[in-house]
Parts: sequence; structure tokens; C-alpha cells
Amino acid sequence: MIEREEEQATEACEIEALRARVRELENLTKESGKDAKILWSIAEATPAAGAGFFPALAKSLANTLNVRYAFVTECLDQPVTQVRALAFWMGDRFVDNREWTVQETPCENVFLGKNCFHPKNLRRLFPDHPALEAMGAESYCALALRDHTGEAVGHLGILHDQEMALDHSQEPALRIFAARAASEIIRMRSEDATRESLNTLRTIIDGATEVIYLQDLEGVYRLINKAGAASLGRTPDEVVGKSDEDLFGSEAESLRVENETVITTEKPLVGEQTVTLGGSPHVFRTTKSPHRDADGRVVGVIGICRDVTESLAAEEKLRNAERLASVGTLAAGIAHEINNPLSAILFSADTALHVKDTPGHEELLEKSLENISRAAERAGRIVKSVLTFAGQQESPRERADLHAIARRACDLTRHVAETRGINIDLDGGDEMPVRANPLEIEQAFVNIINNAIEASNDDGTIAVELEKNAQSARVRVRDYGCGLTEEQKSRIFDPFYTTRPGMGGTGLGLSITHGIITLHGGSIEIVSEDGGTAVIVELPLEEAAPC
Amino acid sequence: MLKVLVVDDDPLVRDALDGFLSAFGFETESAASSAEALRTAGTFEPDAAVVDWMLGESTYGSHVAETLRSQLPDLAVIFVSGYHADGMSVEIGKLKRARFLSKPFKPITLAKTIESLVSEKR
Repeated sequence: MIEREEEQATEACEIEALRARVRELENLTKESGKDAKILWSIAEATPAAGAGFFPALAKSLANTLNVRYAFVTECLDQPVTQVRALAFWMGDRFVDNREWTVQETPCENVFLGKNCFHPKNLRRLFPDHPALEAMGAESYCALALRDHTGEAVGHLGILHDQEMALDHSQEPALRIFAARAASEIIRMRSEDATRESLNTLRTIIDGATEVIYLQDLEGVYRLINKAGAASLGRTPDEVVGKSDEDLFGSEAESLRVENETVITTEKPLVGEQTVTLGGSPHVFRTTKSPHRDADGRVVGVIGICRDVTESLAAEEKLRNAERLASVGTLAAGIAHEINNPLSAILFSADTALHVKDTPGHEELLEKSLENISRAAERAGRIVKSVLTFAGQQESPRERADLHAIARRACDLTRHVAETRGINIDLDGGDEMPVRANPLEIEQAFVNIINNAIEASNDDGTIAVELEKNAQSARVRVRDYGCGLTEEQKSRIFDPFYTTRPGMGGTGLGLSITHGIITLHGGSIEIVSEDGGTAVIVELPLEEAAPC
Repeated sequence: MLKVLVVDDDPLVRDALDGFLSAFGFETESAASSAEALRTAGTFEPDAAVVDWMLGESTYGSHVAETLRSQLPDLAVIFVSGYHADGMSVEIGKLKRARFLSKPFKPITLAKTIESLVSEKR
């Protein structure tokens, strides 16, 4: 309705402008009252826009200029070779809106900007032309209709069965008719373009698999696409005019809060909502943005969302599968780690059984039993560390000296280091009281130092430095080995990640270490240093540690 | 008395193997690394070596065996490993007078394998 009113208003303006132009022309042609009448008739004859406009214009043109035939066309191509009549007045009737090729007709020159006024002898100038013949056309005059860029959009012309004499008032009349016709063609075309772009937009919105909608400030749906309505088991018409509350009942509250946030902050919001549809919960991932009018005022909310229920379920499945795969890798690692102490137990037990009654083998018997005990202890430690890794749960804490723990870790790893001529230097001798599980922290440092040994060259050095400040203790284990790439550094704490695949590492050592340190409220970081790597562990000192 | 060199970087396993073999009548020496094994082999001149397949994090047992055999071409070698892997069997298939034992295995199997490999040589 509003559009129609606007159209009429524009129409009125145009008519007013025409009247003004007519008045101007009237002044120019004061000497002839007859001319003025003609000009008035132009303005009065063509007030209507739409379907009847061009016939009315053509007929009025013929009558005004006292000729038999008049027509208006639109161009069908560029440069113009083909035109289609929007109206063709035959003096007593209209003919069907025909199309014709302008080549070798009087119309050709119109678009070439050449002479297009033939006052007589038309058929002699354009012989063998059945249409001209049929009309008995003797004279012709036409004008190109152009848009603001100068491109031809059509042409307007008159034909007569007698000689044509255009006087000083008739030519401007023709021009006014032409201007009027051109503006109508341009308006028509822009309307078509608008309609086409609206259609395109509609096609996109309805073709989208995402839910797209507009809500006003009160949360009432003003638009929703087919996919959106379908996800609610409805048609768009059934949704438009309803609010979230109408559609989702009590679940609408969180949606309302989101809309309010978007409207007040005037910023987009990404969120996930769960609503019950058809009895089962559906998760939607939505981007809501402010909907602004032409003046930039927020008048509602634009929502684009996707039902992610299924993809979330698929992700969960994948995570479970990955977890299972991890468990498999973990199991393989555990099996390998346990194999060594288990073999030691088997051999030592057989040894003990074999020599227990043989005199002179007391020392071997005792050593074997000791070995069994040590191996069983180690197997127990492995199981514990796996539990630490798997459960990552807090273990009992006690007051412990980090310095003493670090020293023990150095002693435990020294024999491995020495087989390769690697020296472990411990530096910094103060007591560092921390609240910790000393066995776990020891394990963490053993893991770090073992890694440093693996990274070191034979006969190298590993520096273990301790220092403390008011709040925390810091242990830095530095090697002078092959160093780590950025990629290795970023993955070094991942479970099962190893820089030496297939070389016997389980890839669990540093991830267990990371778990232990983090659970103790500390931090661990890997720093690349000139020719090597430093692992820096920080733990809160007991005085500062939370109880 | 057959002489056996035990090469394993894990002190628990090394001691257990060493103790077992000496209890069962072998003369033994042990080493924790490839370099140490080579040094010991020079004076000890073993008939067989029991070698951990994964020595430390970067040395394969096959490398240790090759090094030892450059000194003692007739050395029988028994590899032991906590891993099951087809690749190892293929590697070992290329070596003469070598066997692969996957942990855990019966201790007596080791003793028998050593004896049979050494007698093969003779």
C-alpha cells in the first residue's frame, strides 16, 4: 500500500513538472493559443502509469500531432538492432506489440544519431517494406529515448499517410512525449531490477540450509526462511507473527535475553541454545546481529543458525573413538614398561629357585631376591604413574624439600647418563620447602632429566639449577643437545607424542610430568636456548602455597 | 663353560639376566651400552651375547651386534625386546646365528637358545 502511495506521489510530482514545462513552452509560443492547447493535452493525456500508459501515450501523441500512426518501443539489445513496441497506434486501433529489426528501416538512423525526419516520399526511400506499404506511410519522424548515461532504451515515433510538416510547436511536443516515455521505461526497468534482486535474495534465503530469520524488538518473527520454519515443523507463514514464547514456551527466556543483549549492545552475538523440538532436545548454534533500518536504528535482530545436534553427536563419537585409540596406545606403552621389571622378576626368581639349596651361592640368592623386590617396586611405580596420568587426581601431600627431591632425581638418572659419558651438574643448595607428593615430583624430574639425556650428545652436560624467590621455587633443567623445533615444542606435552618414534619411548613421560606439576599448582615450560633446550618448572613455596 | 655377554641398559634386567646365566653355569660379563660392550668383549671374548633390542633411546641391538661381530665374527647373538614388531624379525632374519626373544619369555628358553646357537656355530 505504502509503495503504491509513493508511486502516486511521484506521479503527481512528474505531472507537476510537466505542467511547469508546458507553461514554459506556453510562454515561448504565446502567439499561438492553439499550440498551448496541444501542450496541455500532452500532460493531461498521459497521467496513468502501468499497463495502459504506453497505449495512452501513443494515441495521445498521434492525436496531438495530427498524424495517423504513433508508437513507443523499447530496445532489446545494445548496440540496438532489435526493438519491441510497447504500444503501436494505427489511427483506429492498436496492433499487437510487435518486434522488429531496425536495420534498413527508417528507425535505423534514430539510434545512429542521424536524420530521422522524412517529411515525404517515405516508401520511395525505403522500398520493399511491407509494413510501410500496408500503412501507406508517406512520412516519418522519430526520437531515441535515452537514460541518464545516454544509452538508448527505446524510441518514439510518428508516421503519417500524407506529407508531414512539423511546425515550431510540434517538435518540442514530440520531445516532451519522448521524455515522458523514457522516464517510464527507466522506471519500469528499475522496478524489474528491484523485483529481480528481491527474487534472488528470496531464492538465497529459501535455498539456504541454515535457519535465517528476522525478529522485531519485541521478539516477534517478521521473516523466517523455509529451512527455519521446517526445523520447527511449520511453514514460514505459521511462524511469522509469532514470538519465541509462542514457539518455545519456557525455553524462550534465554532467547529473549540474547535478543536483548544484541539490541542493547548493538553487537553480534554467537551462542548455542537447546530447545525441545518434536520431543527431543536440539542444539542450535546461532549468530544474532542487530537489524538496522535505513537510518541505522536497531529495529530488531537478524538470526542465522544451524541445528548442530547431529554434528555434536558425531564429534562426541569421534572423541570417544580417539579416547579408545589412546587407551590402546597407552596399554601398549604400559605393557612395554612393565615387561622389563617382569622379565627381571622371572629371571631372578628362577635364579633364586635354582641356587637356594646350593652352598656357596648365598650372595647370588640374596642379590636375586633383592632384584625381585626392586623390580616389583618399579612395576608398582609404573602402575601408579599410569594412574596419575589416567586419573590426574590429587595425591596426598606433605612438606617436602624440592632441593632434596631434585638431588634424588639426579642420582636416579646419573647411571644412565654416565653410560654415555654425560655429566649431570646440580647447582643451588638451599632448602626449598614445598607442599607436594615427593615421589610424584621426583618422577617428574626423572622424566625431565631422562629426556635431557636423550637429547644430549655423548659426553655432554646437563645443568640442573635451583633458585627461589619469595613465592616460588624454580628448577631449570638445561641440556646442550639437538634442541626442539617449534612443532615439537608445541606438542611435547601431548600424551604419546615422542620425538623418537619407534625407539622405545612411550610418549607419556612429559605428559605425566605436566600433569604432576600442574596438579601441584605449578607450571612447566619449554624454552629453546642457544644449542639446546631448557625445561623450567615452578612450584609454589609452602609458605605461599594455598592449603 | 660358555661365555655370555649381557648388554642391557636397564640395571634390573641386566642384573637378573647376569645372575640367572651364572646360576645356570655360564660365565658372564655385563655391559650397559654399546661402547661398554665393545670394551668388555675385547678381553672377555664371549661365545654369545644377549642384547637388548632397544639400547637407550637411539641404539638398535642390530647395530650393537654388528659392532661386536667386527671383533668376534662367530659370536652368537640373542636379542630380547619388550616390543612385538615384524620389522625386528625381518632385520634379525638377515643376521646369521641370531635369535629374537620377545619379553616376557621363560628364563630356561634363553639358556637353551644360547646353547643351541653356539653349538650351531661349531
